Amino acid sequence: MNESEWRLLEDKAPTGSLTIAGVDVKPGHRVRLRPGKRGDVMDIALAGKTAVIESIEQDYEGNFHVCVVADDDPGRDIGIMRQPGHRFFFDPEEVEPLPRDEAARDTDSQTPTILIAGIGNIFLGDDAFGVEVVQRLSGRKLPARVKAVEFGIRGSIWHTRCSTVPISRFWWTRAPAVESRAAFM
Amino acid sequence: MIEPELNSFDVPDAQQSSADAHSMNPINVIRMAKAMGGELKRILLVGCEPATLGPEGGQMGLSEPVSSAVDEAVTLVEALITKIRNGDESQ
Repeated sequence: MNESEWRLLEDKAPTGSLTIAGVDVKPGHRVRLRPGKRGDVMDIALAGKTAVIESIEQDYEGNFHVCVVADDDPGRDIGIMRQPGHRFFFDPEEVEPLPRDEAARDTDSQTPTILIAGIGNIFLGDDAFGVEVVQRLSGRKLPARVKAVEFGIRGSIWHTRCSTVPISRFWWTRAPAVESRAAFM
Repeated sequence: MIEPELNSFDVPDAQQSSADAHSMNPINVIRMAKAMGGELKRILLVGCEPATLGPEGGQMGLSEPVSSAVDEAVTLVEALITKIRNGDESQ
């Protein structure tokens, strides 16, 4: 793309709002994705999902494109940061604005999202502690917006590096018969 | 449980920040996330000191004392979830 083409594109500033199916939608609003029939495999995967409008863009011809981040995309944080791979563009007629109460359900909620990451290597004996705890937790009922997931990275670094990690709060759950000095999850 | 101070992690320069899948550990992951512009929110760490990491060839399964600490950790994590969801920052 040459410079004049870039300029053409930059002249088309993102739009603050758009009327879709008689509803005024803005970035931050939630929609349900209804990709057109001639879509690709990603459209098939995304059809019916709910998403948040990240921005509303315009192309050379002045056509509007609704850029969304899918609610259940594990990489949705990356999409919100406008990084590639987690933002998807749809024509305005391919998105269905959600009713306000449903649209407000997540975005207006003050409930924090919590990830419980089980860290540890299951081939290194007790390093698997975090993985074991998460496995136990995933069998229990967790509240909405709380996820327990195994992360395969090594945990034992905390053992050797704990003294060099500045810590603002510090106390231990004491394992029976184990002097608790390091953290593994 | 400990709460690492996230501001204290240096952001590595471009040379150091390449990811080595065999040396990923929580500290490296936090550093990398920062280097890539990720926003770090609150991180709490719940853990237990290992009695053994196994022989050189590795070992599957937890030792008896660590295994018996799992339930306590589950209870602690669930208590933390409740506290965080209730907006209790004081722990």
